[in-house]
Amino acid sequence: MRRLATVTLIAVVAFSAFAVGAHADSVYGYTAAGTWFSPGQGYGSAYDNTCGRWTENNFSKGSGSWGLVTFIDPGGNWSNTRQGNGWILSKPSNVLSTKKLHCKNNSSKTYQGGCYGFSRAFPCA
Amino acid sequence: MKHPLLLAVLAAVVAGSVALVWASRAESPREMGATEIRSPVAVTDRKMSGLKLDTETRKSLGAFRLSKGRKIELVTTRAEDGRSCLIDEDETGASGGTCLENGLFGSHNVAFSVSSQGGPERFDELYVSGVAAPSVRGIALVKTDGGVVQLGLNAERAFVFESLQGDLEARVYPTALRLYAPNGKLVETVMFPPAG
Repeated sequence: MRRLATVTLIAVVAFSAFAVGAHADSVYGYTAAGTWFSPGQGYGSAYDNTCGRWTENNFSKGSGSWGLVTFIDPGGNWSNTRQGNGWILSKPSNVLSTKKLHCKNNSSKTYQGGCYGFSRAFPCA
Repeated sequence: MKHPLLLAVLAAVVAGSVALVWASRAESPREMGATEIRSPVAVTDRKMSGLKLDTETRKSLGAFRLSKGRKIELVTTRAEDGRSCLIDEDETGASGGTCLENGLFGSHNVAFSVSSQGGPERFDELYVSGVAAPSVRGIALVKTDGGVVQLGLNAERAFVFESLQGDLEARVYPTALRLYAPNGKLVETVMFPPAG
């Protein structure tokens, strides 16, 4: 009986760990790939929630194109803002905080790019 | 013994299935609400592939301490699509950076990004982190008030410049990097938009 319990426990733990582990963060575009960004133009996602949190913000663009990605809380405050040329990315200090994603062309040139967010599922009521 | 083992496998499958259902509950783009705010293009809920970094190519360029005590480490790594990345990471798990086509120095003799906390009206923290090409021996950072600061490069030619609180309160921000050759000759000036 003890052997059966051990086998069952190991099998349950192993398969559950595999099932959850195999479920990596998912990627969503909050603009289309190849979207035109004129100077000052930005795009944003909706806010995340307790069931799913944004874990990373990406802005895909050319190496000569300057822009920013940031996280915005419900009060409008920015955090973990990253500016640069090329494909820029940022991961937040606090994944569990409520936030939305934002990407922006803060340069004087018009260019094409795409903005992506990674989301992770969390247990929620 | 046949039946108990079958029972064990069945229990594992059920538990795994429950775990999968739970894990995928919030994955629905509708729940996450991945929608645009100001886009003239009608694109919503589109699942796409993101940039994947190859951790095996990770190389540390050194650690730097910011004024508030936070330590950041600069690393280079390659993305799976071949881009070269310059990333900085801190102890909280926060990280960010830039990935460039044609190598870190394909467009300029320096690869860098600007990181900030707070804003957009007023920043609590702002720093420029980067690495210079092998042909560069000195870098000067230019601020929006015309001030120039000579930056120290470490053995890997990496650097971090952090804005003083007084500058942030006065809305004085970094806006250019001047790159110098070993003979002191100006190699390149890389302009970038002030953070504000």
